[in-house]
Amino acid sequence: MASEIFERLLKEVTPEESQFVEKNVAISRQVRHILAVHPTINSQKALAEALGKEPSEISKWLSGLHNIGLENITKMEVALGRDIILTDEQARERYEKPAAGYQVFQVSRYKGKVDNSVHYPGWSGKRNITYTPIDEKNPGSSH
Amino acid sequence: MHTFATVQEFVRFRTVTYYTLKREGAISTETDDFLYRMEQEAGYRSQLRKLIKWFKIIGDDIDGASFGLFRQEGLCVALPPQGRYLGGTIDLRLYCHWVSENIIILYNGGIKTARAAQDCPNISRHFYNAQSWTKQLLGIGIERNGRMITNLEELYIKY
Repeated sequence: MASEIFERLLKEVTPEESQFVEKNVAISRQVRHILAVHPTINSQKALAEALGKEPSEISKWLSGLHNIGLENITKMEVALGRDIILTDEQARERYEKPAAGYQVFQVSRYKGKVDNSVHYPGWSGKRNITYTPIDEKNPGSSH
Repeated sequence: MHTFATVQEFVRFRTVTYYTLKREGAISTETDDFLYRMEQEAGYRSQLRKLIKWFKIIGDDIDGASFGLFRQEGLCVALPPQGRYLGGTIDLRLYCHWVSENIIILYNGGIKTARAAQDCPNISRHFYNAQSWTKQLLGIGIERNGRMITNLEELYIKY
């Protein structure tokens, strides 16, 4: 049976504290994965050397309990030549690209209706549709 | 004259099982004692809750509790991990024995108020106990990386 005080304290963790630890551990995990495949910086010690820090400092950064700070995260990103964190928007731009044979296109939602009869050049017959409301007064923008 | 402590399961997660020690005749385990005491320190409750959350996240993580997550303290390890703290910041210390990525034995600890653990009135006792217990566990044959473990809960540690 699990420790009662442990279980009680776990339930008392605030959303902010939970998010802090989850994000920290996620960042730590991401750095470890990058180190595992990096051609030259492939250990915490090597990362410490690249950053001019003590290995113990890097160990603290990657513990999941330390407030790493955006400045230190970006220092690691520059040293590793890889992004460690991406915003949701950056990740979508980078990874949600249609595969070959797919076409992403906007469909007018004029009066709330989608016109499925609209065809676009290069449409392979398979749909990967992004429905983006078009501002009819300012068609060049999107929201 | 010695008293003895037994190893018992503290909390189990998907990848990591945390154990602790319980002295003969004691009301609570060593780690429960640590949590009860630290809970009374108003300035450390948030740190304590973050540590609790960390145990769960690492416990469920597919990679488990790697050795690098802990700070080396003599024969045993401790949390939080090593690193310079500005201005000698007072900090929590929980001593542990790292057996493998899947098995951690949690001991006791407190708030470190001196540069060296041995000089700190809050944690020196826990530091020396942790060294003694880990030495015994290593002597029994629970090597690093979890080799030679049979059933932890059948072990007796001299106190």
